[in-house]
Amino acid sequence: MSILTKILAFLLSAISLLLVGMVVAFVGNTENYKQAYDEQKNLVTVMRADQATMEEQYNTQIKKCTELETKLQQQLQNMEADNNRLTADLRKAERMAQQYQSQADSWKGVMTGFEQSVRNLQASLSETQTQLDQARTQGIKDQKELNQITADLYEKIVQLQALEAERRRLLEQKKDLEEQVVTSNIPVREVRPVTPLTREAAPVTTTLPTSTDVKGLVVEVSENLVTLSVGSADGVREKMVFHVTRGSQFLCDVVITNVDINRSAGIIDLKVQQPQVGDTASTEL
Amino acid sequence: MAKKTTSPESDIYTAILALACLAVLAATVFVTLKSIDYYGSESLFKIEAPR
Repeated sequence: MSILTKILAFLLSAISLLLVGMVVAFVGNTENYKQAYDEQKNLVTVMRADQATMEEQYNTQIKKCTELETKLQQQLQNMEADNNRLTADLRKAERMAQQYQSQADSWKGVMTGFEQSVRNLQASLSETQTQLDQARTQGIKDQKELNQITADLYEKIVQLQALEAERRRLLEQKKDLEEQVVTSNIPVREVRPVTPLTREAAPVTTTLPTSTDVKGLVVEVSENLVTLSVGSADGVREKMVFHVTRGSQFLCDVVITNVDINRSAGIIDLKVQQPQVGDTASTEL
Repeated sequence: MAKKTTSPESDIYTAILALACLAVLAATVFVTLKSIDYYGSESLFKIEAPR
């Protein structure tokens, strides 16, 4: 064996061993792609199954979302309709509030006028009450004078009855004397009265003013105060007496104490029944 | 015929070559088994029915 053959055999063996080692190392360390492929394939299968499940769930959720969206859309439309209706109601309520506010303002003005009228009426009532007290005082004085005049009248009546009895007695005496003269035939002279009758009866004159009949209606009645619908323009004067009647029934008299142009007020006198608003008042029955 | 003389060194080289061939054969077997293990026998050889 030549030297060249030996060298070739040695190099061939060395290279063969080196290549064998490299191949064994490479093959031993290489990755099992088939197994990895199978694992990835199984993983893809599982992922596809999961994808199908997820798609099914996604479709279910989409369907639910669609239904929920439809329902919410319907609710939204209903709420918009309610909102519009409530807006219209709100505007209507605002208009009503403005109207009520204007009415309240007007009523406030009216109430202010009423308060002023009430104050005026209270002042008038106080004044009328004072006049009523004065009239009552005057009535008491007049009653006392009337009682005094009545007592004087009774006294005069008694005196008149005594004088009448004296006149009758004198007439009887005169008749007896005339019979005695006739039986004794004494000539009769003209009999003259001792006191000549020079007075003549004066005609009866009334001091009351002549006035036409004034008629009116009772427009207001308080306790003893009556307001009539006629005034100075109709010829009403103070201290005039009105007779208040209801149909043919006499109720009372009203003595006028205050006279206005178209109104008059007075106090009740000779009260038979309480007058009411609408009763007739006239100066002549 | 003359007898060919052989030296002991030639046996050593022959043994080295035999060892190298054995190593190559073992590597081939190892690679084949490994391939069968990884990719199956059909990737190396497949028996098909005659048409």
